[in-house]
Amino acid sequence: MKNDVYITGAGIVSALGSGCKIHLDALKSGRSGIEQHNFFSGELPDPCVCGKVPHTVIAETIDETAPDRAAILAENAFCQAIKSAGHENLSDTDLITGTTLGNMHGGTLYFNALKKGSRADTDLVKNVMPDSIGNTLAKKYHIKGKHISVSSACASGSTAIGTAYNRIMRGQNSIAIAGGVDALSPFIIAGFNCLRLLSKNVCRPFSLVRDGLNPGEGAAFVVLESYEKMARRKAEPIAKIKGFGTALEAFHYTRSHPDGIGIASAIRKALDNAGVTPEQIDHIHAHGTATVQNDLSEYNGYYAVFGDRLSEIPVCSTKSMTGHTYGAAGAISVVLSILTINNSIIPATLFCNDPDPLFTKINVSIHPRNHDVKLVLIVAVGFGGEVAALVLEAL
Amino acid sequence: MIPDEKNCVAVTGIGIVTPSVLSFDMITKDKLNVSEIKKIIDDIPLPQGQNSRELRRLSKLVRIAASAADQALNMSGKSTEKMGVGVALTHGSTSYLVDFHELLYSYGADNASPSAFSNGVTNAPLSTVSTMFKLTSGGVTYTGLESSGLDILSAGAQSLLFNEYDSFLVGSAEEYSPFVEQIYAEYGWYNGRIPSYLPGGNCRTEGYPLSEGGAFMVFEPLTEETSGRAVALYQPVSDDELMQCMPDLVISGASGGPQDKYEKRLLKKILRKNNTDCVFTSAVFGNCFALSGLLSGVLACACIKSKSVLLPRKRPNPEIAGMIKEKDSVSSVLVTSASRDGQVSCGMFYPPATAHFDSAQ
Repeated sequence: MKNDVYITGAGIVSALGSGCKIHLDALKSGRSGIEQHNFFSGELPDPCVCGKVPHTVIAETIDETAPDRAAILAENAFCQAIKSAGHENLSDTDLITGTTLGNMHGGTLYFNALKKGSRADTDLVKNVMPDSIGNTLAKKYHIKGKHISVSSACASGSTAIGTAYNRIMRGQNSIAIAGGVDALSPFIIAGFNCLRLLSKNVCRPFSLVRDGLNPGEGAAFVVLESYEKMARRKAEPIAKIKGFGTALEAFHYTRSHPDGIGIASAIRKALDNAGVTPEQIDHIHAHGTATVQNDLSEYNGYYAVFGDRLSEIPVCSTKSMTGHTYGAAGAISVVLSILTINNSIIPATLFCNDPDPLFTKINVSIHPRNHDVKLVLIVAVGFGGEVAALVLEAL
Repeated sequence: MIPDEKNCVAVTGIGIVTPSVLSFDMITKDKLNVSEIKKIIDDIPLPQGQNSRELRRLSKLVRIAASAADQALNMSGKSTEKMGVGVALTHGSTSYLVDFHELLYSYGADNASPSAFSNGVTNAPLSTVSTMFKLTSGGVTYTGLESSGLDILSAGAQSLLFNEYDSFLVGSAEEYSPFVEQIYAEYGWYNGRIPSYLPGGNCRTEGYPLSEGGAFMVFEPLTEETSGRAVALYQPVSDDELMQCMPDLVISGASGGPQDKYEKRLLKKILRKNNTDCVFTSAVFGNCFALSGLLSGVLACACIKSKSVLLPRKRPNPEIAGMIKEKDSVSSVLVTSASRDGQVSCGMFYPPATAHFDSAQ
C-alpha cells in the first residue's frame, strides 16, 4: 500500500527576495537577482557575479551572519512553508533538510583566527556540520519526528524532498517538512573557482556562449502530507508529488557524463514511480547551471528520454535569476514549479538569447510563457554524479 | 516479532575496516578484548582490482569507505546492477575541508587545488564507492549525529521492503581528525578520559577516544535462497515497535559523550522490560559518531554467527547494571543509538534460520 503525497505549504528565499509572491512576480516579469559582489577584498575571483539574498532579508555582509547564515535562510523559508500550510503543531512532523556545505563561513572565520594566531571562537564552528541547520530548526520548533540531513551535493534539496516523499509514501510518517538550503561563502566560491566553473557574466543556461555558473544562496521548504493527514487537518493541497527517482552516474567526481546517462536514468525512475509516460510531461524545470558540461549532459539526458518530442516540451532554467544555490537548488526548483503549475506560467531562461545549436530540440525562451501545466518534471544534478528527479502534478 | 520477508532483509555481505579489526572474519572474542582504543588505521586494505596509484589521490576517508564497501560486496557476491547505496557520516570530510582552507591561505582563492575542495564535499565517499563499483541505481548520504548510522541502515532496508532496488549497499565511514578532537575538547565534550561506566555519568567531560573506520553491509530481500547464504537478518525498528522487541542482547552506542543521557533513558526502557544482556560498541572501537551504529550492526552479526557475546562486558552504569542479565548464548540482538540532540534509532538482528516464510505455512 503506497500513500499519495501532497504539498500543502511552500516557502522560498533567494536572490529574488523572500516569499512566493515576490518569486511569482519575478517569474512573470523575468527579473534576475544576479549582481556583482566582492568576497576576497577585490582580489580574484572578485568581482563575483552571484545571486546574493538582498539585504532587506538578511545582513549585507557574509561575516555578520557567519556562524549560521544558512540556518537563517532556512528558517525564513521554513516559517513561510508552515504558515502557508497552517501547520503549527510540529510535534509529529519529520524534518528533512538538504544542504551541501551549509554554514561554512563560520569555519572559515575560525581558520582565519587560527592562522593569525588569535584565539578562535569555537562558536564559529559549532554550526559548520551540515546537520546543524535541521537540528537548530528541530529544537526551536519542537519537531519530534525524524530529522534527517541529506547531502547529495547540488541535488540535496530535491533528494531531501524525495526522502520525505518516500517516508510518507511508505507510511513511516504522515507529514514532513523538507527542503534545501545553502549560503554564499568565500569558501564555496573559491572551490568552484578552482574548478574553473564560475562565469564572469550573468550566466546563460543552454546558450552557445555559456561559460559557467553564478554562485547563489537561498532556501526553499515545502510541507508534505498524506491524503488522510491533510483531510484530518482540513488543509488545502497546492500540488501533488507523483514520483521521485535518483541515479548515480558512476563516472567522475566533478564532471557529469556527457551522454547524460544518470540524468536519463533518474528521469525514467521518477516517471516509472509516478506511473506516467514521457508523453504526459508538460514542462521540464531543468538544473541548467550554464556550465559547458552540465547543460550538454542535461540536454542529452532529456533527449534520451523524450526523443524528438523534447522540442514540444517547454524547458526552463532559473539559474540566471537566482544563481546556482547548490543544496537549495532542487528545492527552489520545486517551489518555483508549484508557482508554475498554479499560475500557468513557464519561467524564462534569461539571457539564453542564442541556444547552443547542438541542442537542436531544446525548447527554451528568454521570455516567460503562459502555458497550462499538469505535470512538471524537476531535475537536479550534483557533484559525484548524483541526480534526483521529481514529478509534480497540478491539482 | 517474527522475522519474515515483510519486515526483514538478509545481510549477505559485511565489510569492516578499523584500527583493530580489518575484516569481518577477524572478529573474535580475543580481538575485541582491547586494552586501548587506537585512533588511526595503520594500513587500509586496498579494494580488489583497484589501481593503488589512483587510490593514493583519494582522501583517507574515501579509501576507508571503499575498502569496507569492497569487502561487503565481495562477501555478498551480488551483482551491483539495481543496487542502491546509502552512506551516513557525521564529520566525514573534515580533514579535507581543513586542507582546502590551508590551500586558500597558501595559494590564494584563484590558485588553490580543486581536488581538496571536491574531496571535501560531503557526498565524496558515496560518489567514490558508486564510481569504483559501478553502482548507478541511486543513493543518498545522510549527514547526522550518532544515530544517523542506524538511520541509514533503516533507510536501506525500507527501500528493499518497498521493492525500490534489488539490493542495497549501506555503510558509514569516519576519519580521525585532530581538528574535530580539538573542537570537542574546547566544548568540554571530550578530554581523553575513558568513562568509568556506560552510558557515561558525566557526559560533559568523559568520553571514549575519537577513532576512525568504515563498515558496510549488503542487504538483499529475504527469500529462502538469500536466507541460506545470509550472515544474519536485519529488521528496522520504529519507535512504536521498539517495545515489542525481545532481544537476548542489546549492543548500545553509548560512548560517554553528550548523547549518553538519551542512550541511558533508552536502555532503561528496554532493559526494564526485557531483562537482557547489554554491551557497548565504544568499548571496542571508541567514539566513531555515525559509524558507531554500523559497527554495532557488524558486531551484532558476529555475535549471531558465533551464537555468543563477543564483546567485553565493560562496567555498565549503576542505574542500569541491576537490569542486565548476562547470557551465554545469543540468538537475537537489538542495536541502539541515541544522538546528542535526542534522536534515537534502533534495529534488530536475527539468525537466518529463524526466518519465517508465508509460503511455508
